[in-house]
Amino acid sequence: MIQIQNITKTYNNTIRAVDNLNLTVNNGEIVGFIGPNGAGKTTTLKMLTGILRPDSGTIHINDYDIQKDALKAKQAIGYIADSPDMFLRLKGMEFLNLISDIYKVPTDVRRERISTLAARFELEEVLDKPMQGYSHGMRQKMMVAAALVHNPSVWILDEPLTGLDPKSAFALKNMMREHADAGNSVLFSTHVLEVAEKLCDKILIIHHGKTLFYGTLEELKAKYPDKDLEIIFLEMTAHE
Amino acid sequence: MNSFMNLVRAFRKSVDMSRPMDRGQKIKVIVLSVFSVCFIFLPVLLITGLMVKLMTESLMTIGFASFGIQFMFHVICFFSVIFGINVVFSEFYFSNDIEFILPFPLRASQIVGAKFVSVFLMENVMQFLFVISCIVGYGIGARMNFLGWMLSIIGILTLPVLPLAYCGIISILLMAFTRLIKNKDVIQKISVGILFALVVVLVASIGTLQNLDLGEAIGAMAQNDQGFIHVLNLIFPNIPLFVETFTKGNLLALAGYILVNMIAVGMMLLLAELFYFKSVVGLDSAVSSAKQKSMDKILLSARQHSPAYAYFMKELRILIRTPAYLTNCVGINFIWPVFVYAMYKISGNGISLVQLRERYAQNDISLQLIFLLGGIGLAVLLSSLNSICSNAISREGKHFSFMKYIPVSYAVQWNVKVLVGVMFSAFGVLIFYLPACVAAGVPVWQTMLFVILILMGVSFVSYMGIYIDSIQPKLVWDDELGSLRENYNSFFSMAIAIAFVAVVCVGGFFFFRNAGLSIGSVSFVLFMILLMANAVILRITVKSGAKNIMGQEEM
Repeated sequence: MIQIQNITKTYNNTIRAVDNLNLTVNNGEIVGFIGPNGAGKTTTLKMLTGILRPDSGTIHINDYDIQKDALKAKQAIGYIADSPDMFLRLKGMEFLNLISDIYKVPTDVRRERISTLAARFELEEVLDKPMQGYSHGMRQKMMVAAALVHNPSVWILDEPLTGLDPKSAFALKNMMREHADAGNSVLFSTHVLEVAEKLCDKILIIHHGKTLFYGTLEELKAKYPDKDLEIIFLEMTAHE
Repeated sequence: MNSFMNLVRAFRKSVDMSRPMDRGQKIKVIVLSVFSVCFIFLPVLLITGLMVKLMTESLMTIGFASFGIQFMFHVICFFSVIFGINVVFSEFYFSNDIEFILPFPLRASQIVGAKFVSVFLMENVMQFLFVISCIVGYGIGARMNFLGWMLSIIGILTLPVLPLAYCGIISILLMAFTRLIKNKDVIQKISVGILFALVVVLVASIGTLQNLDLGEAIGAMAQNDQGFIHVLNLIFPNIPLFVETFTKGNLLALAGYILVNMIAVGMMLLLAELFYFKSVVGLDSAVSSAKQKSMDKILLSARQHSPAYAYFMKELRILIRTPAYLTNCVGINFIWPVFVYAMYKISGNGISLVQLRERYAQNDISLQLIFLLGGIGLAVLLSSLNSICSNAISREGKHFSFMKYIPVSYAVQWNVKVLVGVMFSAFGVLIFYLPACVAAGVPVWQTMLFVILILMGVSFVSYMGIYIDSIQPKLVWDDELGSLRENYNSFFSMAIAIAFVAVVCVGGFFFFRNAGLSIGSVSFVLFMILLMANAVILRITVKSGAKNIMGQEEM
């Protein structure tokens, strides 16, 4: 479960990236995070994972405060960053082992998890090779596998579908649904409105760091009848 | 022309270090900068200037006043080639921006020219200061006139053009003939290996200078036997022309100087037009495909270890597998005996092993102090020179955020990074130091004591290095070499290490030699000093190390 209360973030005392944002992602929910470029999505996700500190407000992950109980909160998170170019000198398997060790995944559990994830994302043939030689999509798949290898209850994914081939994107979307249905929470940012429309239980639209809408798709459509999500999104962000 | 200038600006931007936003951090960076200027730049520049002045004054008596400065310029240009070739090579062919630039409709000469200018501006600072100090030394020694001072400005600004153009030409030609090896890492490792071998041979050959008698050399010159300097002038023809320009106010020589530089740069650009695209297109990072292992075999390597161990292995693998770190951070720990050998030979203080053992057995305090303080001094300098700790945060680069979102405390990450630095530095020193102790007959108890003190010295510099790097790490770089060369934190760390060695080791040697203390008592005093130094740096680290990391925020 993710609880965000009144968080605000300003860069260099001038640029207000996130402005008094509130959000709760309950267990069993997938929430899509939508907004134009520079809206504050990545900043919010970075605050959720402890990369950035909010100027004010609180963030709780499974009831642990990300500032006060940082290690316990982080232990519950599976995070995919916006860039998959990480530790490219390591082999895929070494990277997965590093992440598994950091999250204290026992040997037998990690073997089973790595085997499953590798099969699902077709990584078996590259695991023994340095990630430097991977394509962008392959690196992204490795980031997805690494984020999920410790079976975290809270998934925080920054544009996770970028660069994935259709099969892997389909697999990840299915996994997100299965994960939420098993009573966990998923928050992910995306620019692909169709994905948000099909996959999310709720959507959060932000612009200039402020919440424009938070609720179910049905609630949004009721507010803007006879319009599809794309038009609604463009109108909402254009008027701000 | 616009494209060219835009490229230069873009390349320069990626080289600059960001400035801290926080007032407290700003003050720390300013203090460290002032400290570095006082303990690295000023002493080196003063010594260089003084040396040239003294050489000029003594050579004036036989009518060769400009010989000294000419020789110094040759040394500067020679080292510009040695240190510049790796940078030019990396910048021309291996920086990450190349793949973004290649699709643009730009000529090879535009790309290479812009990269050359950005390297020139980056590399020029040190040479600029050295050339100034040489000219000031010469100017005072030879009582240079106003026109000479004015004309010298041209050379101060442009002297490194020719050596860097040589680096560019060598890089382009080398790459033109290595078209079959398309793997970046393999090429980089081979070229850096050759470079390393060159430096080792060069430094070792300096040992032969023990036979050089300055009096004889001057005498030979007086008889017009200037063969050596003629050879150097052929390699760097810009130098005699430049010296002629400002020592005699010869404007024709100035025209020649400009022409020589233009020809060298022109040749480099011409070669770029001929070969650059053919070499640079198709370079890849993919690793040759080893035999495919079965999934079952791969999974066997999946075994649980502690987070600290996993983090340690990650640090180790990155250091060893990245060519820039392998050579600059790891390899450097093992070539220092070559420098010690050269210094030993130059000093001409030949002493046999038997004499060494005899003197040590007689409790010769000077020799004991050389082993003790020399060992500590070497360890301290090496720990800062290898930059493993003073680059530990900067090395994370664009995945710096990884340090923040993983459930591993900053203290663990910090200590593991220091441990890696301590391990390489200590290993590099002890692998040669211990055999030296055995050879000299240093008693076991003294050896053990010295080793403890050496480790304390390494620990102090390592913690100090990572702390300095945490204040304002260089997180934006194009390639790994950039994270080292463009990172001022290594300089800051080195300045403190040099100051420490100057005060504790060099000062300590002269103080303790006449203090009438036994080597055991001296060791105790040094133990207390190092204990205090470690306690202070650990206190600072605990107090604000994690805060510094948390304070680093990218938008």
